[in-house]
Amino acid sequence: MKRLWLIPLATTLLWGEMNDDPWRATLLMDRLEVQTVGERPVTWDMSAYVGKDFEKFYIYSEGESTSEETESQSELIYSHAIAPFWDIQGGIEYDKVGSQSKTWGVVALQGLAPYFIDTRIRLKVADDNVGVNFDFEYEALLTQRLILTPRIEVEAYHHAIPTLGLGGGMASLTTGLRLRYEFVREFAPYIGVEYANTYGNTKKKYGGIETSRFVVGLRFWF
Amino acid sequence: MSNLSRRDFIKTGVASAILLHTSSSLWADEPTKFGERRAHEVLEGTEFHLTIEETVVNITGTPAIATTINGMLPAPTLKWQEGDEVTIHVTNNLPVTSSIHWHGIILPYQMDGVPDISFPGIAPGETFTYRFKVQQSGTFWYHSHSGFQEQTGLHGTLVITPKSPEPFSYDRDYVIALSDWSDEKPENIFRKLKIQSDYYNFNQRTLGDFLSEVKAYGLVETLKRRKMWNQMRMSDRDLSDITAYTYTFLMNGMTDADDWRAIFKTNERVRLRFINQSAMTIFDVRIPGLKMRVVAADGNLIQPVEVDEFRIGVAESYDVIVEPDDRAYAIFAQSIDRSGFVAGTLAPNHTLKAPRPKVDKPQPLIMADMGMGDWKSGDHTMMMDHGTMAMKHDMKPMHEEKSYSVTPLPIRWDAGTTMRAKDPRYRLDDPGVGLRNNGRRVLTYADLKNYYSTADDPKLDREIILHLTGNMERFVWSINGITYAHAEPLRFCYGECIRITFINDTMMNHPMHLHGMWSDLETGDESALVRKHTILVQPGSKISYRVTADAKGAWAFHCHMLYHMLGMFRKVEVV
Repeated sequence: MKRLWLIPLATTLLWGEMNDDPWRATLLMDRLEVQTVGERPVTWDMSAYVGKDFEKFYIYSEGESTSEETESQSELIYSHAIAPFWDIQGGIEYDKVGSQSKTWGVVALQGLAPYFIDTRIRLKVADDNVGVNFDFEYEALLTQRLILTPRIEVEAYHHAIPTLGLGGGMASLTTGLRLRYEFVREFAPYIGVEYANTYGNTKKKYGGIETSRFVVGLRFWF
Repeated sequence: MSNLSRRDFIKTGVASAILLHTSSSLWADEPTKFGERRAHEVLEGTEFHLTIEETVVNITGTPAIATTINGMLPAPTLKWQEGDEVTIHVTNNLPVTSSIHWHGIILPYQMDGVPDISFPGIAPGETFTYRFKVQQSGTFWYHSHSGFQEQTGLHGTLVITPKSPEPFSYDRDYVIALSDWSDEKPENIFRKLKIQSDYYNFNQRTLGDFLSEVKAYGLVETLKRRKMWNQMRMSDRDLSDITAYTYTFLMNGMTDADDWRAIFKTNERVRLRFINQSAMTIFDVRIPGLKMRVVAADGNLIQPVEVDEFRIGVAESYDVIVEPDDRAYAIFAQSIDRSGFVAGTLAPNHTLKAPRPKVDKPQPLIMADMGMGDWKSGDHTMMMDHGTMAMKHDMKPMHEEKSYSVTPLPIRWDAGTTMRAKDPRYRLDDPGVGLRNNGRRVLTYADLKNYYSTADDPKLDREIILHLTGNMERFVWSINGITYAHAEPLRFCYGECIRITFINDTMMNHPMHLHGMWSDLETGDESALVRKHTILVQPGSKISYRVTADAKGAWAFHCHMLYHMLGMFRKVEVV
């Protein structure tokens, strides 16, 4: 770990003035919002990386928290550019619901699909199960600073994971539409609507719900 | 290292985190005395003392640190005489290595001032003495070749008086140095572009643009028009990486409000020496109400051509002669993306004001800028038959029957390259995006003809083809898909004459500059090849020029966009 931190320092010094690819670190909180349903859960979706043009180390974290329970999915990922618009990724994911948890190995494809669709497709593998997650986002500029973002996320599992309240097959679909205003690129409050539903046993057996809600949130990066 | 305590580890982590954020804070702790900005001067003679230092300037209303020479921004104008031997003592008072490169000047490579290629650079506190014979005349410039110092003010003008009189006369002589200034640290700008490459672009396509196109052309036609751009994930509004969002454009170091002035008396002829000393901004220049007679390009005489407007790429220079009436004129320079402008005044006295014209509406890029065919056919080249189109409009320089060979070079198409120009054309007569069909007589490269005959120039020995490549999404720039860090030097044999052909596989203009040797641009007339030091290569286009490798040593060869050049760079060895 110690060494890892020293790499950026050494590289910057060695390369000196002609470095077209300096190490950089950034954190994007894509969604940090309060939902206007039930107990007004707080949800977040964050990614951060340290890296260079073609190699990056990511941390992803996505989740929902109420006073009673917190659900989260966190990943530690190595990302490597394989095509102009695409990175192949690999790492581990740690999913947590309340006091229950599960660890997965992850292989993912992240990038910009034709028609400027931000895409992340990930395959989650554990010794007893396989899951997939599709996440698509698009940015439509109403003005140069007022940006409308439709988003859709789908998750499915091969087998049920009773401890996490997930059934086999398609487990959930979340689709949202958010409207943000970029005061500066790095700081954009937003409002939006979101529809989420659960399917199969996730709904029948584990009490997954269908919700439509308004959200108020903040997107920021630094 | 292995004995680092946890506390030390955290400290190191913090230190490198800061470094990531802005590498210039590396020296923030060292005591530095910032000088005050001084009024601009012209220095004349054969021996010069230049001191590079950090100076407090206030350009935007907020004080910021600039890198200056003798406290001046731009650096003092140096006036040399052709034939003189000049000696320049350059003292570096910065806390980091610095350098001065004499842009467009023919000299021994050890005097060229590129760290790690010509010399080690000028270490903090040290003085380096440049000494060389001035073998040319005209308008040139000089700038730092270290880090981002050029962006923070380290650039100035060279005016070299010729031995023999020039073939035109004038009563007044003014330098007009254009530049771009930001209060942001260049390292921060670079980092932002790497994280979000359209960070500074506030002229992007909106839903409203789409709807008005649907209204004008119908939904099907609009979708058809957008298809190629959407599939390639390219923006036709991607005109400048860095815009007036952060830049304040300067004329001789002064803002539009400062209103730099050129004064003349009635019936006088005025020579204006325009030099684009920007880090990243291409300007379109005009003086509304006045024809400009262009008499020199990149310091070298051309056959005079009268125009309303010209585009000046980063590092290029144009000398023009104007004959103003007894009134005030605006000298107007708008950035290529139309996000901003700077203007000064050409007037018979200090009180007359000249109204500023409105900044033009930005034009989007067209298919030709994506390397798909001819620029005159507008946006629909895609639908047409390439074969027949290619025959008709292509402004073809000579040498169709090649008597020389093309030397193959390594090339790589991978994650660092998004686009390939499928049908790149010679577009010498294309005024370029933003200037097409604007109703004004705009200078193009097709207008540039050497004042002297080049009919007896050496015959070509061979050709190399260099692709200008990049990935705008990742903000990565390279030549032949290979960045400087991973590239082998280009080798020229001493004395040979090489044809260099660029194919621009990006959607940006790249002003390509070869140090130490002239770039004789093929503009269609074999007997009047124009002699330049910087060639603006239009997006998606092809362009060829000749280099006689008459200067032994190691030279830099690169895109003069400061934030492109780190990757879009080659070392050239003439042996």
